[in-house]
Order: sequence, then structure tokens, then C-alpha cells
Amino acid sequence: MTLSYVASGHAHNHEPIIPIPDVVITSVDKVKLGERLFHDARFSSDQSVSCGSCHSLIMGGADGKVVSVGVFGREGVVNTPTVFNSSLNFRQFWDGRAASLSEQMDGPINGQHEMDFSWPQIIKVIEQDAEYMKAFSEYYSKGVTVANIKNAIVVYEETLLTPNGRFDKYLKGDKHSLSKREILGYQRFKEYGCTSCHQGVAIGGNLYQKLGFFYEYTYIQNGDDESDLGRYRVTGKEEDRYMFKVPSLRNVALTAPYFHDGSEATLEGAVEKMMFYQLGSASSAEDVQLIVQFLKTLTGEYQGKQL
Amino acid sequence: MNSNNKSTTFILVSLVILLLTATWSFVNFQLDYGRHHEKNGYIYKLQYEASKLIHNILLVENGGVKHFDYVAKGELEIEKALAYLYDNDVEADVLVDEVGALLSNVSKIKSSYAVYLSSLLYFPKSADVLRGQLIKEVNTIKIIELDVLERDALLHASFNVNRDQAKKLLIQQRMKSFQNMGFGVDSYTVSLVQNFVKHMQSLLLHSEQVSTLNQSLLVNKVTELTQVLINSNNESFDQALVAAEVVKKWFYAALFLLAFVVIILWRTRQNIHKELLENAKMLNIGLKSAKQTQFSVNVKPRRVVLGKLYSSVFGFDSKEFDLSVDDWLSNIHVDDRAAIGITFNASLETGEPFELDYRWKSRDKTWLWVHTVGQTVEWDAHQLPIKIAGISTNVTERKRDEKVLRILAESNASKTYDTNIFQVVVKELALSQGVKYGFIARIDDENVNKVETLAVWANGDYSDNFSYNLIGTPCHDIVNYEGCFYPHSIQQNFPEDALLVELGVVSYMGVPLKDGNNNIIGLISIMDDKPMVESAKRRQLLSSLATRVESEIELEAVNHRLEHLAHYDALTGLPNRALLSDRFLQAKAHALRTHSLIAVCFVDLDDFKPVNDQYGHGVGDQLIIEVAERLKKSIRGDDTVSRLGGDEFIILLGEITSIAESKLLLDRVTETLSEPYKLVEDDIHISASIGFTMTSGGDDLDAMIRQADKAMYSAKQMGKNRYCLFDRDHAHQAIKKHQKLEDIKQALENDEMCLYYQPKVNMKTGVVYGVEALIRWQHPEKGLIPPFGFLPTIENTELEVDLGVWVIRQALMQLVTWKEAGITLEVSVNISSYHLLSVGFVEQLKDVLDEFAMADPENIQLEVLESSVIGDIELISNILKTCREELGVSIALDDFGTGYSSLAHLRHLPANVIKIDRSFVMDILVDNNDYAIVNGIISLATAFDLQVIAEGVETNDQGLMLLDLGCECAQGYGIALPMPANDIVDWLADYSPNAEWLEDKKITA
Repeated sequence: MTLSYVASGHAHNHEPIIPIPDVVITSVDKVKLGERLFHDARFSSDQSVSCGSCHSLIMGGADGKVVSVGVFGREGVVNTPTVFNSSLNFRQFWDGRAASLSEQMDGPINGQHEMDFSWPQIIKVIEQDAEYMKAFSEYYSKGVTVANIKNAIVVYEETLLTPNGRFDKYLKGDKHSLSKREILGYQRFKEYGCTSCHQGVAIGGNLYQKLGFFYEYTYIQNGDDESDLGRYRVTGKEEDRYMFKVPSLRNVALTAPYFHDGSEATLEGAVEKMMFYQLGSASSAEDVQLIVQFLKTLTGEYQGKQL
Repeated sequence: MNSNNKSTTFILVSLVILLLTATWSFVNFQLDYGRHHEKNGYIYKLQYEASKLIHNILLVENGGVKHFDYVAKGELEIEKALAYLYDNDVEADVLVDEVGALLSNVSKIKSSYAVYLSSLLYFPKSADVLRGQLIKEVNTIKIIELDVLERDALLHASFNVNRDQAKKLLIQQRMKSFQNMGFGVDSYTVSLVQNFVKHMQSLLLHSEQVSTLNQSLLVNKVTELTQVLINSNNESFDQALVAAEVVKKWFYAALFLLAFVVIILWRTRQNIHKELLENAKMLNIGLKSAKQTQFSVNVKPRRVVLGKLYSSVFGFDSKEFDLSVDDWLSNIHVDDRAAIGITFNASLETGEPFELDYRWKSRDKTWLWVHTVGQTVEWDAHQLPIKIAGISTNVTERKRDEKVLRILAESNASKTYDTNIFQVVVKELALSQGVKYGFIARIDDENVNKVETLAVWANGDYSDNFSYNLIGTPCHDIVNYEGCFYPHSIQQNFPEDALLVELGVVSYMGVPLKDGNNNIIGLISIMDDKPMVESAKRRQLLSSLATRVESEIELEAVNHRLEHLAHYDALTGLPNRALLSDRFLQAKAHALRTHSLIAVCFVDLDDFKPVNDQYGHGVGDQLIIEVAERLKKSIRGDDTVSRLGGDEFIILLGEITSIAESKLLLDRVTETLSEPYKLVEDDIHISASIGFTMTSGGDDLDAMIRQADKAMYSAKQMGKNRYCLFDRDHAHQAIKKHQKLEDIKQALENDEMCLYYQPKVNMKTGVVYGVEALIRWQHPEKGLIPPFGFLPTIENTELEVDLGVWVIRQALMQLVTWKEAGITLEVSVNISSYHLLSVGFVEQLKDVLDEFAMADPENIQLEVLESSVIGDIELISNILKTCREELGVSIALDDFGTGYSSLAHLRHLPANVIKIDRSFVMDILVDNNDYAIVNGIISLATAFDLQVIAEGVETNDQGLMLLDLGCECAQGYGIALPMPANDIVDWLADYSPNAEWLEDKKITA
């Protein structure tokens, strides 16, 4: 640990952001199985929604909608976060109510507005599919169990990292991978104090912060104002009111609209809003442009291709 | 029969349940050890992760925002450990609450700190913007007020927060009056003021919050509560151990019952079998008409007329066909005659049917067994018999077989374990069949062509067992053709079978023995030195005896398996705890007799869990098996390795005479276990931590295992892959050590630590070029305490790192002070290997260097003990290299010569300077070895282009000798004692070079 830290730490020792590590695949078979499960729409009550419906890998790991549409056209209540790099988050969901990807899965599967299904039903579907049965009996000693289904999907999700973005290359020492303006944008990003919250390997995703810290945030409600309360809904503590997980900014250019309520359609708007509500700072159009240009360099590669 | 089947099934089922229950209880008892350690492991993990979390939070607060990632990881690790405790019903409410509070604290610190950071950024910015506006407005008073406010708020937030409430109130008051100074209405300036105020409030609020949260973070009770919990866990585990003993007793009772039921079952089965056999035999007898014969009795004249076949079957002359009843009776064996006479005469009078068994003398004077049935076929008017007719049968053979089976039946049950049932079988078989030889043999488990006899009957006596090769013997036919029979001339069929020749065997009959799966497991056969008559009955008898022998062999196997199950670990086949107890008692008795020692060693694999996680339990199991094999191989034949469960083993060493002897053995064990395991594509690397304890026979096993377990924990704490002897005073010492640690920590906080500096000079030029910083503890009561009075205590603790950082900062500060006074000296500081290897060492050093930018990094030298770099040369080289190349500090290898560095080591180390250890310098003039070593080190240093300095130079002559050998630099009492920083200036002023050394220079020049 120490050694690799020292050895690989040279180029970006003092930067607040760490490059995404390369994907390590321990079991190709399980990843394939997880991939199939992830994209199987039979695991929903009207057989139309898979995990991949809302977490589309060609849509930056989300679906581009303000809120996602689940079974029978039902609308969700918060904006869908990207599945890319989700394993780097310290908790899942905007309010952090799931400690792990495996725990997170129960949400959409049982959610009325999402897949509206259940584990026993999923097991039934799998048991009627010879190919699934073969795979489970081969890779798992206990065959088809909830834990094993979850494991396969988690193993797959853990491969959904997006390393080698242009900014990561810059961090690793390739000083030509960013344009002058993009480097300037990164400097602004640091100077404005964005890195107080958006830092680390995921550029966020490792702490909670109050939304509307400096000025009270104006919420765009999606039918359920409870979800605007953030972590308060989980803990019931007054101090957690309006606290949300700081989202990762990896691939942020691809995951519009922004914020838990999906209220901002453009990156420029999102940056302006953040500066106003979180930092209490007036921003020049020039600085916003620079930061947006920097944010666009955070788009990484999946399976060797840029997203 | 049907009900019999049902009850058998019932018994079988209850038997299995009984077996399972008993085994379960037993296994559960075994596993408890593992669970106990797992529990404690998780509790320790909780403590470890909590302290790491605090450490990382502090790193975040020292500017490393990316440590948020580590903090988040730590939070998850803690939650996992908490979930384990929760899932396993560990009663740890107080600890869980404390850790929960810690987590919530950390979460708050993270968000507060992030806001604090941006406030720190924006507050001066908003002040700047406002200032710019006020300058435009040329509002001098407001500008001055703004400047004062800004400075006060920043100072307060950075240094005095939570210490000076009065100051805080003052600032807030000033801020209010500032706001009220009048900035117009709706003007741009007002919005700037608002912004300024808001940022200022944010700064004050969050600096206060972070500071308050930090306070409560640092006074957490996780460590104390962990210890309390571990203690209570150990206590309840001791109680559980007692309970487990009871379970064990019940298990043995169940085993006994099981064996009993098995025997009963077997007997029942055997009786059924015997009945069937009898029936079949009766039928056979009926069919053997050749041996039957008719007879009739004329009642009135009392004459018996025998049928024509009588002569061939019973061996009579033709004249004897018609004889008197009395003559007939006189031919019956004297023992049977009276009884037969009564029955027979009664039937003659009444005409009742009769059935008789008796011995009859044949013509060759041998006794034949005869079975006779008769009934009246002609009656007179008074219903009295006139003529009776019947059939007599020669049942001699049957009677003999009955005798064999009866003896067998009587020999089973209680005698099974005393008498060898196989011997009984061969003896009775040979005698009943009138043959010379009989034997039972079993096929070897490993070589199917080899058989081993279980019992041999030859020439009227038992013979020794032997084994032989099946090929080329009649036995081979038995195995291949399910039995064989050679009535005569067997030697011609098997010319290569020397045994047949030797014994003079002519005829042969044998049948195979089979197990429950119909596999042939052996054979039973008879041989004779005269031709044998073919007989289906004989073969039948052989078959039924085979069945009997088969069940005996199976019973033995079952007993063997039960025995094994009760005493050996299922996965590795190593003795289990129960057998270990037995062995321990034996070893104990032996130790008391021979006045030797016993060692009990607790072996726990390091990093076994990751292997399980990464490769799955299958590989994990294989690894455990391999470990068991290696353990077996690395101990002596009489020692015992036992598996407690999980990845824990116990080694019992007997006949030990010293601790050193145990260590020698354990060296071998640790070495063997840490070699790579080739179970998957990549080699798996694990090691083991071992705790051991010794007794001369007084202690009991449980106590010793607990002691060894504790020592094992120490071994883990000392860095794994090692062994550690249980120290009876250890617990006591640990408490003392804890107290001492606290004292040292306090001393550091109270500024009781100080640095002394010892000058380093170039003897040749006379120049004082540097100093070595040496730590001292200025104890308020005990006076000045030298390093060895407290450094050993803090070795490998976080405090060692803190103290190390303190020394570096202090030295840098001094460097700056001297620089300002116009003095340039190279200051070397001692860095412990634990500090060097601690996470973030390089960054930390970099931060400190940045902080004292005035100090020139090249004037800082890190002294690293030569012995400390041996451990992980690559890792340490990398760190040192980074320090040297990126931070610009120089590196010295301290105490050189004592660390057994090889040339190869030296070449790879990025050192600038080698410091010759004082122990060599001291005796350089009197000890040839030391002289040679110093000479060697100096040549080595020259070869690798390294600077060299001698430590501990006390006399002129030592200096001269060193100069002679080519070492120019030195430090030591002969030059100057270590002194406080303030004295250095005076010392330098008074310093004059040692003329003798300089003279030396003149001579060589």
C-alpha cells in the first residue's frame, strides 16, 4: 500500500484529485453473468425495465431524464445517478441510505416507481432460464440465491470504472493532455474551493454536505417533497436536514440534468448554481466557462473507449 | 418381516439423527474457538479502524483533502465491523454507541471542514472586494475597521477558536458596529458588506464547530471500551469452555449408544439371515432324493423293512433290508436310542405320525445323522395301526453346517471384540467340511492384486497371517469370476503357485467377500490335500459365511470411521481437540517422569481471510490442507499438530529441554509456512503468527492454549510472520507500558522534550560542518532523561511518529534561527523505521519543509538505522529515494556495521552518508577485528562514493587512526558533548580545531 502510494504518487502528490485505477477483472464469467442480469428487463413487473433502462451505459450511466420512468410509465422522485464509478462512492443513493451496491439494489427492484418486483419473483424467472441456471451452478456453489445474484451484479458494476480520462492522464504526468484553458479551468476549480467537497478519486462521493449552504436552496419538487429533505429522511436528525451525498463529478458532462431534483439542464447552470448556493460567490461568466471546460475533461474511458 | 423392516428403518433414522446431533454439538464446540477469535478480531478491528479514522481526519485537517477518500473507506470498514458485531449478537452496546458517536462526529467534521475550508478561502476574498469598493469610496475609517475585523477573525479562527470566548464576543460586537457604520441603502456596497459578514460568520461558526468536534473526537473511549469488551468476552468464553466440556461428555455417551445400537441391529440382521438359510437348506434336503430312502414298518410282527436305496445311502447289506424293531434300534447311537425308542414305540401303539433325528451307525462304523418321518398308512377296525410308512434322510452334512453356524451365532455379540471372529469362522469351516486348510483374506486398499489374510487354519491349528500376490493363484479366479471350485489337480492349473505345492493342496473352493456396494473386498476359501466333492451345499455354506465375514469387516470399518470422526479433523485429518487433550495428558505424564518440558504453540495464519475472499472457500480449504501437511512435516514424529478450526492450529511439542529448542522448531515452522503455495495460477503468499507457552507439567491444556493465544496476539501486533513466547508478567507490563506512554505523550504536549545538538567536524580541515539533533526529556522531577529512557517505550506506536515529526519541526526551526544568526550547519535527525514506513511520511516531511521554507532542505539529513533498512529494502529504498531526490534532503545510515548489511544492500540504498557505529570506533586501537571492520567500511564507502563519519570519537589517537584510514569526519565526546541549542553558538565561538588532527593533514599534504 505504502509502496504503491509512494511510487505512483509522484506526479499528483499534492493534487486533491486522484486518478481512477484501472479496472481489475477477477472473474470474467461472473462479470458476464452480472452484465446479463443488469440488462434483463424480465425482472420488473411489466417486464419492461432493467437496471440498464435507467442506468444506460451509452447515456453516461444514467438516462438523461429529470426523473426516470419505471414500470407502467411511473415516474421516480429523484434524478438517477450514474452507475459508472458508483463503486467508488462511500454510500449509495442521494441520501446515502445504502452502505453498499449490494444494499442499493433492493431499492429499485422493490420500488413501486421503478421495477416493482421482488427477489422471489426474480429467482423464479432465473430458474426458468437454462442459461442462467447453468451459469449460477457453475460459478456459485450454492447456485441461485439472492446473495449470489447480487454478487454477480456487484461484480459487474465494479468493472464500470472509467479510467484514463484526459484529466487523469494529466494527473499521471501527461501535461499535454489538457489545453491551456482546461488547465486554467482546473486552477479555477481549486481556487473557488470546489475541491473542499469534490475531491478524491471520485471527485466527490465521500462525504455529505448541506445543499444550499450559503443561500437557501430553491427546490424543484418532483411530486415528493420528502426527498428534498436529504439525509434527514434517513436519520430523523435536525442537523441532517438538506444534507445530501456530494455527488461524484466523474463523467459529469454526460449526466445532465443535474442535482437530486434534476433541476439544471446544463453544466454552466449547474456550476453557477453551486457557486451561488454553496459558496456565496459571484462568478464571472469567464470563470464558469473555464470550469465547465475543465469538467468536460473528466469524461473517462469504458472498455478502452471514451464515453 | 415387514414390521421388522420398519423398525429397522426407524432405528436407522434415529441413529443418523443421533449421530448428526452429537456431531453437531461437537463441531459447534470446536468452532466456538474460531468464533471467539473472530469476535475479538472484529472488536480489535473496530478499535484499529477507529484510530486510523481519527488519524486520517487529522490528515484531512492538515490540508490533505484527498484523505477524505481514506476517511470514507474507514467509515465503511467500521460499519462492516459493527454489522458483524450486530449479526453475531456480540453484546457491545457501549462500544457500539461510542463508535457510532465517533462516526457521526466524523461525518459532521467532514462537512464542517469542507465549509470551513471554503470560508477560509472566501472570507479574505469578500473582504478584498469590499476593501476595493471602500477604497473607491475613499472611506478610510471603514477600511481600517475592515482590516482590523479581517485580521482578528482570521487569527481567532485559526489559532484561538474555542479558547478565547471573550475575543469572539468582541469580534462579533465589532462586526455589528461595522455593519451599523452606514453604507447607504440598496447600494452595491451593502451587498458586499452582507457577503463579507456572512462569510465571516461562516468562518467563525465552522472553525468553532470543527474545533469542538475535534475535541470530542480525540477524547473518545473506543480503546478503553474495546479492552473492557475483550476482557468480558474472554471471561464468557471461559464459561463457554466449561459448557463445552459437558457437551463433549454427552457426545461420548451418544457414541457409546450408537455402537450399542449398531451391534443390536447387526444381530437382528444376522438372525433373519440364518432363518432364511435354514429354509433354503430344508428345501435342498428335500430335493436330494438320492439321499432319501423309503421304509415301512409292519406293526404287529414289529418288523422294519428298509427300501432298496438304503444300502447305498446308509451302507447296508441286502440281507439287512428286513429287520426287527429292536435290531433297528440297536443301530442307533446310544445317546439317542432311549428317546427315539420311546417315541417310535408310542407311535406303533397309537399310529401317530412321527419325526425323528438320530445318529445311525453305518457300515464303515462312522455315525450318520438321519432324519426320519413316518405315518400310518393302514389301520385296523379299532383304529389301530397295521402298517406305517416313511422316509429316512441322511442329514449328516446339514448337521455339521448347523453346528458351524451355531458356533458362529454364539460367537458374535459380546465376544466380537475379544475373540477374532475370522479365526472362529475358518476353524469351524475347515472342521465341518473336513478339509485341511481354510482362510479368509482381504484385498489391499492400495494394491488390488495383493491380499492379506485375516485368519488362517492349517492342519488343525491356527497359523500366522501372511500376504501374497493374487496373480497366478486360484484366488485370482475368485475375484474375477465370483468364486471358483477345483475338485482336483489344482497344481496343474496353477503351476506358479508355490504355496499350493508346499502345502500339497489338491482341491480348492472359494467365494468372494463384497462390501455394501458390491465391490469385492476379499475372499474366503478352503483347500484340501485330497480331491473335494462338488457340493452346492458347501458353496452355499461358504457364501453364508462370506456374508457373515463381510458384515464383520464392515462393522470394523464403521468402528474405525467412528473412531476417526471422534478424534480427527474432517478437513485435514489432523488430530482434533479431543485427541489433543489425550496426547497432552500423555505428554504431561512423560514430562513429569523425564523432567522435560512441554510447549503448546498456537498457530494462526496471517491474512488467510483475503485468500478466502479472493479465491473462494475451495482454495481456502486446500490451503488449510497444505498448511496441515507442512506443519506435519516440520515437526518431529512424536509431536502433535491439531486443528482447532478455521485457520488455527495447535502444536504440542514434548520432551523439550529449553526455550531455545522450541524456538529452533518454530523457526522451521514459520519458515515452511511462509513459502509460496502453488494452489492457483499465482503463488499464494501467507505466513503464520505463533504464540507459545511452556510448562514442566503443572498446567492444564485449556490454560496453556489461552496463554499461547495471547502470545499469538502479541506476535500479530509485532508485525506477523513470527512467534512470541507467552510472558506471565505481560499483562502487568502492558498496563505499565500504557501508563508510561501516556506520560511521554503528556511530556510532549507540555514541551518537556528538547533537542540537544552534538557537533560534527571535519577533522582534516577543522571545520564544524553540522550537528546531530538528539532528543532529551527534561522531566520536571526526574531531571534530564536520555533517549533510551523513553524511546523503547514508544517504539512502533503512533506516538513515535508524533515525536518524530516534532523532532523534525524543532530541528527545522533551529535551522532557521541559526540561519538568521548567520550560522549554517547541517542538522541530522534520527528517523525511526516505523515513522519512515508510516502512511504519508513523504508528504508530511514535504509539508513541514514547505512550512519552514527559510530552511534549506539540503541542510537537513535523515539518519536511518542501518538495521532498519534490512526488512523491506525495496520499500524503504523507494521512500528514501523520494526524500532525497524530490525533497532534497540527504540520507545517513546510522550505526553502520551493526545491521549486517550486505554489499548488495548498500548498493541499492540511496544513502549519502555512512555513520560508523561507535562500538567499532571505541576499540579501533586495541581490537584488530574492529580495526578491520572500520577499514572495510571506509573502503566500501569510498567505493560507492559515500561520505563517511565516525561516531563516538573520544581520543586524539582514535581520530588520528581514522584519518589514517581515510575517514575525515567525526563526532563524539572527544570533540564535544551534545548540548542545548543555545550553547551551540557559544561553543562555536570558543571552538578551535584539534591541532593534532590538523597536523596530520599537514604531514600528508
